[in-house]
Amino acid sequence: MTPGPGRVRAAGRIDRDRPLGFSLDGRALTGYQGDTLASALLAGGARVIGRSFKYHRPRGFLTAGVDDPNGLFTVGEGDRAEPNAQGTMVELTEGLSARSQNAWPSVRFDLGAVNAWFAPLLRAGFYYKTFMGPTRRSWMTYERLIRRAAGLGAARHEPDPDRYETRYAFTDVLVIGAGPAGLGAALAAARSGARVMLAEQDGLLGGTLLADPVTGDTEVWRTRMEAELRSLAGLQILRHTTAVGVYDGGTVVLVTRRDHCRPDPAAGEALQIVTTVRAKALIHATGAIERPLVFGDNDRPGIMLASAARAYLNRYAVACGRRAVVLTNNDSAYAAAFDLLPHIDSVMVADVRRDVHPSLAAQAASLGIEVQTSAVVAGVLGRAAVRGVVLGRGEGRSRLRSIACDLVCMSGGWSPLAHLSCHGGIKPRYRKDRAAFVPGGYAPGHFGAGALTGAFSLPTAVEEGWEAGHLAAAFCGFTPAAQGLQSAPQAAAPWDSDSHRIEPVWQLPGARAGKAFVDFQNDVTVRDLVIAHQEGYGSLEHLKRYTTLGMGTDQGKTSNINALGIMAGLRGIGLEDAGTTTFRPPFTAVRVGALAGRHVGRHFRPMRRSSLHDWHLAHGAQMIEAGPWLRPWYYLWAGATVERAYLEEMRLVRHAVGLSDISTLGKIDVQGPDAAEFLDRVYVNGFARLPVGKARYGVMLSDAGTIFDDGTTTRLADTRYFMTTTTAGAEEVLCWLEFLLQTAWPDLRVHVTCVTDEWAGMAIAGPRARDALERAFPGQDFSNPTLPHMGCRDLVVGRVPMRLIRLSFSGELAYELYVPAGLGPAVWEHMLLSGEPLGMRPYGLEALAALRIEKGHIAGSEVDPRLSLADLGLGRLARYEKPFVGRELAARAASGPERASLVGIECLEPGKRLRGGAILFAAGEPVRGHGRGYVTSVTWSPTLEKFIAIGLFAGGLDHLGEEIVCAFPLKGERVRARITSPVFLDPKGERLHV
Amino acid sequence: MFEHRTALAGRLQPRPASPATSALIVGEVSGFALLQVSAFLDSVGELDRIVRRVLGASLPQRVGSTGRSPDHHIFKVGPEQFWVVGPQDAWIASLQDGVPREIGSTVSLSHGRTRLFIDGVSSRAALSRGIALDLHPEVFRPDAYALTDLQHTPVLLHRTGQHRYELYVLRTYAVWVWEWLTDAVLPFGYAVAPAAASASKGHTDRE
Repeated sequence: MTPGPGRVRAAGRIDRDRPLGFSLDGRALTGYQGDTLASALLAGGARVIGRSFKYHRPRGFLTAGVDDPNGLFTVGEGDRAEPNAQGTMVELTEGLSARSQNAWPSVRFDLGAVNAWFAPLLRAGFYYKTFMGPTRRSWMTYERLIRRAAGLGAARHEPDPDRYETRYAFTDVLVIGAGPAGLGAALAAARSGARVMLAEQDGLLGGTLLADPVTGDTEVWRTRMEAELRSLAGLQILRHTTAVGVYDGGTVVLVTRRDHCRPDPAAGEALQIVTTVRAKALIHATGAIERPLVFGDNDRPGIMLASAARAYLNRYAVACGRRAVVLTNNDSAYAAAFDLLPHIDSVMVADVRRDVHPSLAAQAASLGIEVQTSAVVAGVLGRAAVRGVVLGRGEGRSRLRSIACDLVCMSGGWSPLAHLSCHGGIKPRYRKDRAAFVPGGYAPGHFGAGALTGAFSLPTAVEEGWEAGHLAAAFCGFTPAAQGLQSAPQAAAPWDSDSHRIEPVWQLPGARAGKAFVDFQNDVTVRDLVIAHQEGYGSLEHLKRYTTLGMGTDQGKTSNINALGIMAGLRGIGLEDAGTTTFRPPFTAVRVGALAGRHVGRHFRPMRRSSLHDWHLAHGAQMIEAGPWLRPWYYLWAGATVERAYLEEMRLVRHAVGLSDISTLGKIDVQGPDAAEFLDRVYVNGFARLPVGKARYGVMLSDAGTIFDDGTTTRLADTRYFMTTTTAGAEEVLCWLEFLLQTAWPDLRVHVTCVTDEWAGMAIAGPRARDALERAFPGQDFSNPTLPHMGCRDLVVGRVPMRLIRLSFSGELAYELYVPAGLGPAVWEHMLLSGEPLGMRPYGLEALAALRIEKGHIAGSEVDPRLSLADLGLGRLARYEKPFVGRELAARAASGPERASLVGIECLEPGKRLRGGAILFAAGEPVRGHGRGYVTSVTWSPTLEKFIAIGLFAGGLDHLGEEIVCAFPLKGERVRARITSPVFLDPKGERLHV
Repeated sequence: MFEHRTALAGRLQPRPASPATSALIVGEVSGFALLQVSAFLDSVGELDRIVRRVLGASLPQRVGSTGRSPDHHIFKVGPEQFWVVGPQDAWIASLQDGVPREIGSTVSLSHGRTRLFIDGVSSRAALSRGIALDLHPEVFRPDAYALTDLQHTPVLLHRTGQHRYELYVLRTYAVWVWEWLTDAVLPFGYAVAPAAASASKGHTDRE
C-alpha cells in the first residue's frame, strides 16, 4: 500500500507491516495498526472531517485525544452503528466503517452551511427570544425544525447486539492515569506491597510521553517503567479504561472499552465493561490538556493544538501540513515546532509574548526557525482549510503580513484535568503562575500528582507521582519500599521546565469576535459571551446554560477555561474570583448499554418462580408477571384466550373442583413462648386464645393506624404459628415483624422466619374438594368434625410432612395444602391424577381473582395503606381492649361519615362493562373531578351474568341500593350501576361449611 | 411415593468441558439438609452447648467465619441465629428435638434454599460480575462466608476452596441466579456438573 500524503518517515508507534482497510462514507481508505480513525484520515490528507453543530462550518480535528470537539463520526453499521464517536479515540481496525455526521450531501459541500449566513440571527439565546409565538404550541413545531437543522449523530432504533458487563473490584490504591506521574505513583505504591490498580484510558501507557519521539530518552524511561510495572504481581494494569466518576468512600467507576478487540457477544465477550472500584486510596494523575487560542476563524480545518500536531507526528507518523505556523503564548508549543521541522517544508513560530526565553530563541535560530514575538493574528486565510494567516505585531497590528501555511499549531497553555477531583464537591482553585485551575483539595485518602497539580515538567511530575504513591500506600497501612526511583528522567528540553513560562491570553487582540470560537462543538463565539454578559448572565453557571457553552458531548474540555477568562475580563474580575462550573460525572460519554450491563433481556429484573413453575409451562399455562413472581394466568385447557379461559376455570371451581398454585403467598414461621402475645400485638384481632389446630383471618395495621396487610394465621402448637401474608406484602411484613422484635419488644421470646420458599402451596377448591382429598390420600379423615372450616391438620403421607388448612378464598369448600417445596411438583401431579375422575383441573390467577371478587374478599387492590379498618368494613374485627400496633390512630382514621368505604357495584346496563379504576358519581351529578370513589376490582360474574365490582364509595353502604355512574374518562365511557353488598355470593357462607 | 425435584431440575444439562485454561465448572450441590437454629438473647450459651453435644461443633461467634464439624458447617446468619448445613441424616431430628422451646427454635430450610457452586481458577473473576465483595484470597479466605446480594436477591456466599465457592440461594430465585451464573461464566468457558455428581457432605475443599 502507498502511504497517504500526510504520512512521514518518522518512526511513530504504528505498525507499517500491518495495513488496515477502512471506509469513510463508503470510500475505501487504508491506515496502519496503531492508528486512530483520526490519524488515518489525516494521513490520507483529510482536512474537513465534519460540520459544526449550528453554523455547519467546516471543521477538522482540533486535538488528538479525548478532548476533541470536532471529529465526531457514526462508527459501525446497522444495529452496531454508534453515533458521536470521537475519531481521535476510535482505534483503527480492519473493515471499520465510519460515516460523517451533521452534513448533507457531504462534509465538503454541506447545504446546511447556509445557516452561517444567518449567524447574526443565531446568537446566544436566539431561540428563547425568537420562537415565542404566535401560539403557546408553536415551540413544538420550531423545535423539530431546529433539531433537524442542528445536531449530532442519530441513535439507532434496533436492539444493541453487543454484550456489556458490570463488575466490582477492590484495591488498596487506584491510580488514575498512566502518564509520567501515574507510572511513578503506581510503582511506588506497588513496591510497598499494596494492591494497586492503574487505569489508563489509552491503549498504551505513558500519557503525554507517547507524543514524544519514539527514539528519544523519554521512550527509554517509559518502556523501562512499563516493564517493571508489569513484573509486579500486585499491580493490575487496565488499559482503554477511563475513570468516569469518583464518588464517596473511594468509589470510582471505570469504563473499559474493548471495541478494538471486535468482541464476540456469543462467546460472552463484552464490548464495554463498567467496573465499580472501591479503593482505600486514590491517586489522581489525570494530567492536563492543551487549550486553544481564541481568534477570528480559529476553527478553520488545519488549525489544531500544537500538542495534537506533535502527537500525530511522533505517535502516528502523520504530518498534518507541509508549512506550519506555531502560534503560542507559552514555551511548550516550541516542541511541536522543533519536532515538525525535519519532516515538513517550513515552520514559523508566532509568539504572542514580547520576550522568549533565550534558550528557546537560540534553539529556534539554530534550526533556522523564524520566531515572531508580540504576534497577533489579524486574519485567517482559506475557508475549507487554512491557507495562511495574517500576522501583525503588537496591539497596533502594525506591519501586517500574510504567511502562507496549511497548518497552524496553537497553544493557549495547559488545563489540568481536575474533573475527577471535583466530583466530590471540592472546587478547583486558580493557580496564577500556571494560568490554570488545579484541584482545590482532595478527600481523605486521595492524592494528586503531575500535570494535574501544575507540575508540567517531566522530572517534577514523576517525583510527585512517586511521592503520592508512597503517601497512598502509607494511608493503606503499607510501609514504603526503601528502593528509590532509580531511573527518574531528566528534563528533556528547554520547554520542559518547572518555571512554565506563559502569558495568559484568553482572547487574542484583534480577534473578530463573531468568528472567534470558544466552544467549537456548540459553536459558541466570543460575541455570544459578550451578549450573555450584556444580558446579565455573568455567572458561569448561567453563562453555560444561556449560551450552551460546554454542554456538548465533549463537555467543554477545550472551551471552559477560555470562556472563564473572557467572562472574567468582561466583568473586570480575576479568574480566581470567577470560579468554575460544576464538574459532574461522567468525565467522558458512557454508553447506556454499558451502564445496563447484563441487566437486559431475561436478566433484566429478578423473576421468582414457584416450585410448580415448570409444570405450569409444560401444561399450557399462560404466565403473567405478578410483582417479582411469574404466575399461571390461565390454562389453555380452559380456553385459548384469558377472557374465555377464566370463566371456564371459575365454572370448574363453582361446580366441581380445581387446583391452584398459591405458593406465592408469604409464609412466616412464628415460634416462641411469647408467640401468642406477639401476634396479639401485631394483629388487630386476637390470636392468643386461638385453639391449636385452628386458623384465623387477621389484619395488621401500620403504626399510622391504617391497613398494612392481611392473611390467615394457624396455630400449630402452643408456641408455634404458621402465618400467611399477601403475596405482595410478604417481605415487608417480615421486615416489620423483625423490626418490632428487635427494637420495640426485645423482651418477647419469639422468632420469626420466612418460609415462603420452603413450602409449596396449592388450593383445592370447589364443592368436590373433600372428595379430591379423600381420593388423593385414602384412609385419611377429612370430615367436618375432624377438619372443620378454619381447621388445620398435619399429615404425613409417604414420609412427606404436609399441612392442610381448610380455608377459602373462592367462597367454596376449599383447602390449602402445603408441602415441602421440592416435593411440590410430585404432590401436585398426584392431586391432579387422583382428582381426574372428579374433573379436577388447574386454574389460574385470573379465575382466582374473579372468584374472590364474587365472594367479596379483599386483596392487593383493597389492602391500601390509605384505608382504615372501617373503610374496608373490618371495624368489628378489632379487639380494642388489647393493645395492638396502630390501635390509637385507627380510631382517628376511621372518623367521618363521608369517608369512602368498601361497597359492591353491579352493572345495570347489559352490553356494557365496568372497568378497574373507574370513577364513581352519584346518579345525576356532573361527571367532573375525583367523584365519590373508584372501582378497585372488577370481573364478569358467570354466576350473576353481569359485570360486578368492588370499590370505595363515599358513605359506603349507607348508599346501598342507590344508582350510581361509573365513569372511565380514558375511554369516554359512562355506565349506570348500583351499590350493593360487596359479598355477591353466598353471603351466609353456607358453601364453606358443606 | 413423591419424588424430590430441585429448583434447577431440567436445567443442569451437562456441557462438554471447555478446553480453555480459565474454564469453570458450575453446578448444584444436592442432598443436603439446612436447619436454622435460633436462641433467645440470654440463651445462646445454652444453645451452643446443645449444638456441641449433637454435632461436636461450636456456634461461630461472629458472622463471616464458620463453625465446623467433619460433616457440618455452621453459619451465623443473624442475631442469635444460625444455619447448620449437613447431610440428610439423624442429626436433624436430634437437633430439632434437642432445642427446648424456652431456649430457642429450629426451622428446616432444606427445601427453601438451592445450593450452587462454581469452581475453577476464574471463579473469583466470574463472581465479581455480580457480587460486590472483595474476594481476594487474603481478604476472603477459604471457608469465609458472607451474606450478600447477587442480582438483587439475597445469597450466602461460602468459599469452600482456593477456587471453589458455594452460593445458598432462595429456591424461588434459583433459576434467576442460575441464569446469571451461566451467563457470567460464559466468557471463561464452562462445564455444568451433572446433578448427582456434585453432591457433597459439606466438607471444605482445601486445595
